[in-house]
Amino acid sequence: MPRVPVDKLKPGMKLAKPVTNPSGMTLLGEGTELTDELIERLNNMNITSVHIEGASKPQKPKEELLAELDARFEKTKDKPYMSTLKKLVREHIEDLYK
Amino acid sequence: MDAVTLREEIERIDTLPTIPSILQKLLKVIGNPKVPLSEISDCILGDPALTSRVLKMVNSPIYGFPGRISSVTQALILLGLNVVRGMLLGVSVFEAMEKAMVGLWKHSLGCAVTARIIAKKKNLREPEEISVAALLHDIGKVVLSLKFPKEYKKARADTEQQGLFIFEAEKNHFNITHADAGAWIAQRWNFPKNLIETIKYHHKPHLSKYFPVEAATVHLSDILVRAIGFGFAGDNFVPPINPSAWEILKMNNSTIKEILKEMEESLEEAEDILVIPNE
Amino acid sequence: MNNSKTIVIITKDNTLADIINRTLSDTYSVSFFQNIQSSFDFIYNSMANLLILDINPDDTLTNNLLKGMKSDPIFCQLPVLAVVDENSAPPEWQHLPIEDYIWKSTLEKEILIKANLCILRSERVVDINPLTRLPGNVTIIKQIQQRLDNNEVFALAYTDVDHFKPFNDKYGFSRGDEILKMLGRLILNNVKEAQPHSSFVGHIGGDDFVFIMDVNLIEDTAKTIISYFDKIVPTFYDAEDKIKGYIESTDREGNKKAFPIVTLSIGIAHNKYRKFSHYGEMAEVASEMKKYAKTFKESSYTIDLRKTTDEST
Repeated sequence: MPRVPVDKLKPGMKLAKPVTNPSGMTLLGEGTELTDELIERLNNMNITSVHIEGASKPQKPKEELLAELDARFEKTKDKPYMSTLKKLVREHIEDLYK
Repeated sequence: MDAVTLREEIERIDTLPTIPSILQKLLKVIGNPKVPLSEISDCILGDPALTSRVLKMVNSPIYGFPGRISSVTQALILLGLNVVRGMLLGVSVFEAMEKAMVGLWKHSLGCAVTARIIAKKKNLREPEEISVAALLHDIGKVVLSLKFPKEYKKARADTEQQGLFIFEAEKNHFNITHADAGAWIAQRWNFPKNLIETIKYHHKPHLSKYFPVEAATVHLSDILVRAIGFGFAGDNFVPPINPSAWEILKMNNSTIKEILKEMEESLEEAEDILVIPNE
Repeated sequence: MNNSKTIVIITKDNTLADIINRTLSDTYSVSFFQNIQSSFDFIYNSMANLLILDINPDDTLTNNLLKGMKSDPIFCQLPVLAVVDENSAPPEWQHLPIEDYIWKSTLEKEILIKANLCILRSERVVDINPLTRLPGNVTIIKQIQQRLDNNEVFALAYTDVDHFKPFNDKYGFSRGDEILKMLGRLILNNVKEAQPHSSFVGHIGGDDFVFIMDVNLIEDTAKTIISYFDKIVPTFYDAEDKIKGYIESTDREGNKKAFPIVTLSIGIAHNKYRKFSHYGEMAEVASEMKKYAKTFKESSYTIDLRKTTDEST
């Protein structure tokens, strides 16, 4: 359940976690389906992001993540277990985008 | 600077800096007298600085049993809520929290989460203690950059310009690595041996005589968290896995895959702690 | 001045701080803080011998924090010397847990003498168990008798650590002491958290601890104490013994034997259904319950459920 910034919220998205005010009171319950009105309210409350139901889609494009992966492993890709590990992480990243 | 003076300087450190957002959450939590111990415990476990503070306190000779406690939950029970609240009230935050510090904090938290996952998967004893060791494994970096900020900045610059691992750059500038510095301070603060050794050998787990499994777990957690790019550990590379760690934990590809998946979910929740609650 | 005693001074008044520094720093190691909160980290981590506090009777936060600190047996022994401004109304002494006071106007002349005296006075230990700093037998007896005399209904618990002697034999009394110090804090914190007022924790000696609580709270607290004890005590064993779950030692006859990890037994007596007029009667019942609890392998507690002295179970 990813955190989505308020300015990227769309009507129809459902809250995966309740929205509470600083003293802990629940303002919007878990499972609430967002409408334009509710999104406007969240904006006015100075809330920066909320948890939305659904699988996480990483913010960055896949190519960028994979390029960063390559750069990280550059120094040690030939050491024991490292190419296997890199492959596993690569597969893991690919899975996130399915 | 010679090793003796270096060590003396490092051991002079009293406390580590806490992230502002953690402190805010904390003040809310302790301001409420009805808050249960488990919530305070969770809050503290979300921050290496607070965790090290609590462990330093409970292992202080004045309580009578130094070098025994490495679990935060047990520490809170033995210190008592009054003492813990009093201590937390005195926590001040370092205002100019460097981005690198925040990145390191994130990395440490990621390692704590990952170590717990590995410990549970492999049915290791005392997953909380292993998780705490993973949370604190890089405190040496905080210590070095606090005591010798200019020199440490140079070391970090070297990692970019010369393509070094941070511990290589540290060795060039200080003759020791953050693993040594961390172990020194853990010893100074009377942490139990399992924490001291795991911090000392997290890059060379095969050298850990008494806690090889714990050291291997923290070692592997460190590598996995860096492999997925969560947080910032001082350089942009993934250090090589020590083969003995892989063997001692009886790792295989499918287990690693499962761990990566569980990490993805848990780390998202962990990131929440970093978000400043809105006033 | 490395082995000198430590004094913590809390004041926002810089002139006052200067005077104190001048007059005390030759004899003592002094640490200054602007408010009590910022001093806690220092106090809770190191042995301070005296706290000098610039008192403002209206500052309820500071006074509450002071009370909180003094309610802990380890820090209760830390004497507090209040600096009072004679131009403002005097504080209400019964609400302030301080040992002595000094006036701002005569401070420079008197502070060193007062500090010396405060520290000496706190070192004259009376009826405090030296290991855990918890109240000792005299206070314990008083507590029980007073409550009985006031017709209070309460529960009295006695504790015992099983297989403690083999532990001491193998690991030495120093480590055994560590377990006792740990147990003392465990009992104290759990009792005080469950019942902040009118509860009591004492230490007769060795592994004999006493605690007093409301009848309806004591069983749950006993359970919690036992549960934490079982979780924490293995940390005091060496790794191989911890994994084995027992230690090898010699019994009283000199034969080699295996002794399990120490367990906690708690016996509880109360006067909900039966009357006691003398503390000894109640203590005897609690002891009896404790003996019964000891017959169980695991850590456990036993509470007296009988309605009269004659009823057989």
